Amino acid sequence: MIQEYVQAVDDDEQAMALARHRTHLAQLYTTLPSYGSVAYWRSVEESDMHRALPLEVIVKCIRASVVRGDSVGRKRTFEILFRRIATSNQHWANTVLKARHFTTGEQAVFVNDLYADICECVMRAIIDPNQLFWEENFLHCLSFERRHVYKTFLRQEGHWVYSREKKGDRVPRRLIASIDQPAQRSGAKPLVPLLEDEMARRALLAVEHSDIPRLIVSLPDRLKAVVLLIFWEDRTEKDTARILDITDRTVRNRLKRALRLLYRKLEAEREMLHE
Amino acid sequence: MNSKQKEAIQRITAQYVAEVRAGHKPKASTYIVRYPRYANEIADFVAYFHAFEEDVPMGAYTVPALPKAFRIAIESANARITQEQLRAHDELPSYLSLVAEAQGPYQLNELATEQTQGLHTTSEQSQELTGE
Repeated sequence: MIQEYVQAVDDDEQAMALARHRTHLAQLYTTLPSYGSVAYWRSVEESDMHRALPLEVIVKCIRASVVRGDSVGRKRTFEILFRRIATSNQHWANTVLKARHFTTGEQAVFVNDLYADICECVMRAIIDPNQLFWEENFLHCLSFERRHVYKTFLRQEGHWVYSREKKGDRVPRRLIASIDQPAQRSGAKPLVPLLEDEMARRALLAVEHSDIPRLIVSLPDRLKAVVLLIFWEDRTEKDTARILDITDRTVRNRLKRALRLLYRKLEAEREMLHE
Repeated sequence: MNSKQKEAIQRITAQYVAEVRAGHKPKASTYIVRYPRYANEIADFVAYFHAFEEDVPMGAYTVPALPKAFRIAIESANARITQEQLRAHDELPSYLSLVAEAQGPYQLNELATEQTQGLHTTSEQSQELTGE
């Protein structure tokens, strides 16, 4: 009950903060000099970041140029927008590629590819007047577009291997070599998959905590929440089941599938590093 | 996912990000419990955010000149979008011209001639039929 009350108060405060934020942005936009005038462009192209217009207002300016059919103005405003987010985009592209272990030459090419993709996605989203959230929280929308570009990039480059679990994959050679293979009784559960699950769990526990989100991203959507709650938030399987409103058994099954996929990913990364 | 759902997820996850940026340590589980319908999307974004976005600088204090490759990327994206828009704009007149071509003989004067010819044929046919 108290929690609900606190939540309601939080919601009210957030709603008020949001209303203030919207009013502020609207005021900035409406007080701009008339569209296309010298003073207008001086405001839009202000390079002093303390006086520069928020990116949300720049989005509105681009949309105004689209409505007016002013393609030159649109291009000019897009350029200032991309200059202002260039550092952020470049940093993001490097972060994404660092995780994939490319050579320096490949990395430079891919940075440009990612940059081109993000530019196109952002342009398309901004000229779409239905995507209103860009006028309210530009950086968050930018994160969403970058996530989309990242996933597309993984698919295009063949790194998105976890959309469907492959059946009948071989057990890694290193794993086979590391175990003494005892005689298996008939009817007994196969030891190798069990061992693989255990190895997978240990491998994931050995991973740096900060690396876990990167591993989760490439899992199928249905498996992400389980791994996030167990390995990122340190929840128990029971807790996870309660939070996701699924059975303990479903949690275990999803976890098992996710661990196998992640183990293969970790193995592949290790092999790449040794090559 | 439609645009309304997309915006809902953006608003939910924006709240999570705002908490992180404010120095708090929000739990994804809190959001999942509150918005169970979007559990997968929340987990996906939270993982992505901590993997690739958390350390990305929020904004630059200077506006750098764009490297050549980046300028080319922006130019070509802009050109592609402009071309698409022009093509969409051109579709209407071309559609109208197709309709105009399809009109063929149905101009009023031609239609009148056709009707007259039709009448003649009818009278000839009736003459044949009556044996006159």
